[in-house]
Amino acid sequence: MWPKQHAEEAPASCAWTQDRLLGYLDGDLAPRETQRLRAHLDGCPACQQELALCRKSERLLATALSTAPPAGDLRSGFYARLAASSPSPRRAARSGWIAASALAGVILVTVLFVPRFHPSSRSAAVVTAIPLPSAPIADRRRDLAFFLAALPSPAPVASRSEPHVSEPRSAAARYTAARIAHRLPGRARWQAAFRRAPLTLARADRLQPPGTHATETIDVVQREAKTRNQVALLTAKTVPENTPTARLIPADDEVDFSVRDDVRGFTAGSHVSSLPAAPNGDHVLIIEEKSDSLPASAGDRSRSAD
Amino acid sequence: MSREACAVGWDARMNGERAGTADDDSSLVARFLRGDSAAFDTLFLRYQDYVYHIIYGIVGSAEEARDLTQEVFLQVYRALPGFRQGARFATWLYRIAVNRAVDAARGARRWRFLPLLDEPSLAQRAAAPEDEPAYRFERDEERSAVQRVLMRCPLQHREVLALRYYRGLSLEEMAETLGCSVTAAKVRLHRARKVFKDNYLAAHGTDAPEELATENADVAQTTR
Repeated sequence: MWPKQHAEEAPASCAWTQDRLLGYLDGDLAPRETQRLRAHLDGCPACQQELALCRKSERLLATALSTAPPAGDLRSGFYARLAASSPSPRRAARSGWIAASALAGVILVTVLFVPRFHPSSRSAAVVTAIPLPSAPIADRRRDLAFFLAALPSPAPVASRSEPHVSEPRSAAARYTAARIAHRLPGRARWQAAFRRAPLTLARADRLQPPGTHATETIDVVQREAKTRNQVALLTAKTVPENTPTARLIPADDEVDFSVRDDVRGFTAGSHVSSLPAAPNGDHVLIIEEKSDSLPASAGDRSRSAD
Repeated sequence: MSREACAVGWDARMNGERAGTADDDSSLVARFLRGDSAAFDTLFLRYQDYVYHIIYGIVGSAEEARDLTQEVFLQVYRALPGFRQGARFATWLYRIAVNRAVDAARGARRWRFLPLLDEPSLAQRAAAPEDEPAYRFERDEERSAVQRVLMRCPLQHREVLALRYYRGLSLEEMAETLGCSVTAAKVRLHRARKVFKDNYLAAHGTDAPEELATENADVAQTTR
């Protein structure tokens, strides 16, 4: 794989030498190349140091496997997940697609036609533009049960007739998603969960009567930012009991954070979902609103809703 | 590729498959497809550590690697009916693991660009309970030295290094897993090792030359 040596008699350069140090350590060089490289190394402290660095780096790599934490017992967790999912892989896949399609329809209709939506807010449409999960319905039921079980203490709820944008949600409600996420066994895990599918926002105070539950689609925004086109915190509104609820997928394909190192740097017209840390250490799901979706500032919206 | 450079153990190969036996991978896959769930259990036990280590090498978090390993096996469980008979199960499995880990690592990278409104301070993180894993995987001190350097490397290099140094695959097996030629796999590995070395230097900063100074005498001897 090494380039042919054109000037075999010429002294090797540092670049030539350093390009072959790994090959030299591997014993991959031809005898002549080895000889030439050694001749250069003899008189070049810089390349000697580079070789030493290569050795050290290779030694470190060689410790990779032995220093990795043990996998532990993955089997029980795997079978627990398997049991929670559908019994048949094929049926699971089929029901997953059906459920996802049904869910997409429900959310689309809800968002487009339910009059509770404030006319000036089209942010919900942005939310629903995010592709829905294709995970089996059994997975989602399991997740929902898990999330419901993990809910925090009840938080104040706005009535259904109340314009949702007029009442800023309490911190408890806003961070419901975060609390749910935090109950998952590990930050990495909830990040994965968010990517994979889903978060159902549910409100503990809607858990009535006992034994039943209501879930909430995500539509309302409470903007933290001062200017337009900024990030919105997601809260929820109630939908009928046991209705498959909106689940946001921060679809990787549609998310591009590459130029966004600051809230104000977000590109108008695109949407993102993310999990910044809140002051209390929790995390919230946020979404960006389209530039034309908010004709007024957050304060203006609240006033107009009143 | 010399034996010394491959201290992960080229000779002590860790192939899970026992070709030609009743419980080789293809037999187990066939048994599973006929409804024998114990066959999948055998495959799981045979490969869980390998998959976990590959993923760990890419994502750098044991917690996430465990989670993703289970997801990979779930994916495999569901996809096995479509598995092409004649293909190597291990290669197929590793490919799924690499893809899943890379996707996860890409996602994690994206999160880092997010506005961290009030990122918990280091003191807060240190004060987190032992059993609270929320920030645990981010603590550098809980990663091995090799992982700290590895996590500085771009993903395309990390996946190659993980297959080589966390799983000990041969170039041929790497090529099969990565879907490229053996030559391409060799070139990719060489580049990845160079990138690792550069990042090793970057991670150690000015300390690296001092650490290396003691080795120079040894090097000088070696080169003679």
